[in-house]
Amino acid sequence: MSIDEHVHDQQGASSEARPAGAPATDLRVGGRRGLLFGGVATAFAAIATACSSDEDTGSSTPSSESTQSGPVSTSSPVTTRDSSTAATGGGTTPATTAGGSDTTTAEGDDGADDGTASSEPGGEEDGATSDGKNQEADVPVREGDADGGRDPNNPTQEELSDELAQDLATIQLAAGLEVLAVNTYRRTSLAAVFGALGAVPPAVAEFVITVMGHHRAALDELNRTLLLAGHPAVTTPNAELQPVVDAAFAAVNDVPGAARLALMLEEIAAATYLAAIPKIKSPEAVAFAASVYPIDMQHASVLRFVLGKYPVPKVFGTVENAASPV
Amino acid sequence: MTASPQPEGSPHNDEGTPTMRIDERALRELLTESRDLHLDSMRSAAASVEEFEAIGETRRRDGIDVSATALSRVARYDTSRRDVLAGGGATSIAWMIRGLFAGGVGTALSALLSSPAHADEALDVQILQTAVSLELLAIATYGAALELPFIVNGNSVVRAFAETTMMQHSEHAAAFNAQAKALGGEEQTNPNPKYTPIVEGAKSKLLGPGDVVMLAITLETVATQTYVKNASLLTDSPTKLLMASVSGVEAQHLATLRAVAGLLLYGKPELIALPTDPAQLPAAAGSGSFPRPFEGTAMASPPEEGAVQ
Repeated sequence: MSIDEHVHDQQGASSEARPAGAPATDLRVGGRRGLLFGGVATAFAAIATACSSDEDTGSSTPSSESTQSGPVSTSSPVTTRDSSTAATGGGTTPATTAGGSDTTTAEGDDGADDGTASSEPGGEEDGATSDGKNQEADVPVREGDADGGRDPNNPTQEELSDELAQDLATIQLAAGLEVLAVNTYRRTSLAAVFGALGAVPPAVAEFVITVMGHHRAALDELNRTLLLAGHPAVTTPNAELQPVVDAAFAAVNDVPGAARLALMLEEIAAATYLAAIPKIKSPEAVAFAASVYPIDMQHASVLRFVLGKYPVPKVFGTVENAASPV
Repeated sequence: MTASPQPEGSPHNDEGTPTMRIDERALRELLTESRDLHLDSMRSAAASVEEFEAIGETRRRDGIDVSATALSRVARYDTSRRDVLAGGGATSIAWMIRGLFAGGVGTALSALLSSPAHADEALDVQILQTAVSLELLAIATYGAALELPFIVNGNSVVRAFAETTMMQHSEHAAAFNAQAKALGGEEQTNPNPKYTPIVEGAKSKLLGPGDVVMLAITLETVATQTYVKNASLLTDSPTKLLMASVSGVEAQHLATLRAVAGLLLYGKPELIALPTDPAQLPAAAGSGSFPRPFEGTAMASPPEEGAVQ
C-alpha cells in the first residue's frame, strides 16, 4: 500500500471520528488543524498545533506561539511573515501575501482566487484584485511622491515594467515548483501523522513544517506578483516534475526516504533559482530569486546532515538540475 | 560567546573540551566524497574562469554591449543606485516598480546620460574586489581557528569542516579575482578593511568552540548577504551567476554553523557527528539553521568597502 493509499484510509477513519461541526475541509492538509479532531493522539499533535496556529494567527512563521486550534473562518485569511520593515524598503524580508493558507492542485482552491491578493503588515490590504487591477480609491495619496501620489507598493497593471513582463515565464516556473514543494511537504507531514513513515524524530517534524512555510511564503510572493501583472496565480505544481515526485513518493516508507525526496526537490528548486538569476531582466526579481536561492541551499544542507552526508559538498552552486519551462 | 555550559554526563576530554562521537570510517568516506565533488566543481570552475577571461578579452576588444533598452537601463541604474545609497534590502518583487516610478524617471534618465557606459562594469569590479576581501578574511579566520588547541584537538568533524570551508573560500577568492581581471580590474590581495580589525580583536577572546562558531557565523552572514545583495547590483551575467552560486555555498556554511551552535547550546555536542543520530536531535535543529524564508541583506557590505584603492 502506498503512502497516499495509507493516508487516504486513515483519513477516512479520522473523518468518521470528526466531531459535529468540524469543518469539512479538516482533512485537507491545509486544514491541518483538523488533525486535532481526528483523534490522532501522537506527538504529531504538535505539528497540527503548530500548523493551526500558523493559519489561525495568519503567520507563516512556524514558531508562532499561538496555541489556538479551533475551527477558523477561511474567508480572506491574511498571512504575514517577518514583514515589519519590508513595506518601507528598509527590511530584508518581503511582505508576505496570501490569498489563502492552503495550496492545492485544484484550480480555484487557492485563496488568491478570492480576490485577496496581498496584505501589508498589520493586515492593511493593498487593494490588488484577482484581475490585477488596483482599487485606486483605497490607495492613500501621499504628498511629495515623485510620481504624483501613486503608492509604489501598490502599482497598477499599467505601471508594471516591461522587464517584469519578460520575467513572467520564469516567475510562473518558480511558482509551479513552489506549489510542488508545498504539496510534497504537506503529503509528507500527513504521512508522518498517520504513521506511514515510522517513527519521525522531532527535528524532522520541525523541519517539514518550517520548510513548508518557507516555500509557501515564496509562492505567495510569486503569486502576488503574477496577480499584480494581471496573470492568474499559479496553483498547480510543475507538470513535468509532478509525476516524478509522485512515483518517488509512492516508494517512500520511512524518514530517510522522505528526506531523499525532499533533498531532490530542494536541489531542483535551488538550481532553478540560480539558473534564473542571470537571465531575469528586472533587478528586483533578481533580488527576490537571490534571496530564495540560499535558503533552498540551506534546506538541502540540513537534509544532507540528517542523511549523514557532508552538508556543503560543492565549492560552487550548480544549475545542473534546474527545471525549465514546459 | 563563551563555551556553552555542558550538562553533567556530557562527554569531555581531559581539558574540559566537549568531545563528540565520531564514526571515523564514515567520516573518511564522506570527506572522500566531498573531495571528489570538490574536484568536479573545480573542473567546472576552471572552465568558468576561462570563459570569464574570454569574455573580458572580448569586452576589451569590442567594448561594452549597450543594446539594452533605455527603459531597462534606467530601471536598473536607478534601482542599483538607490539601493547602494540606501543600503537597504528590497527583496519584494513588487518593489521593482519603485525604480521606475518612485525614484522619478527623469532623474534616473539624467543620471544615466551623465554616466559613462563602463560605469556599471566598474561597479562590477568593485563588487568582485570587495567579495575577494571578504573571502580572504574568512580564509585567515578559519586558518587562525585551525591553530587553536580546542579546534586542533577537538571534534574532528568541526576540524574537517573548518579545513574544507577554508579551502572553499580560497576557491571563491580565486574565482572572484579571475572575474575581476576578466572585466579589466585588478586583483584584490588584502582582506576586508572593515572587518579585519574586528576579527583581530576577537581572536584573543576565542576560548572555546562556541566562540569560534559564532565568529564564523558572523563572517558567513556578511558574505552571504553581500552576495545576495550583489546579484541585483551586478551588470555582467557571468559575474551574477558566479556571485549567486557562491552565495548559496556560503549560506550552507552558515546553516551548518548554526546547526553546530544550536547543538552546543542544547548541550548535545556528541550529535555534531557524521552520521548523526536524527532521533536524538532537538526539535529546534529542524528550523534553527534557517530562521527566515528569505535571505536578508542588512549586513551586506557595500560595493566599495573592499575595492582596490
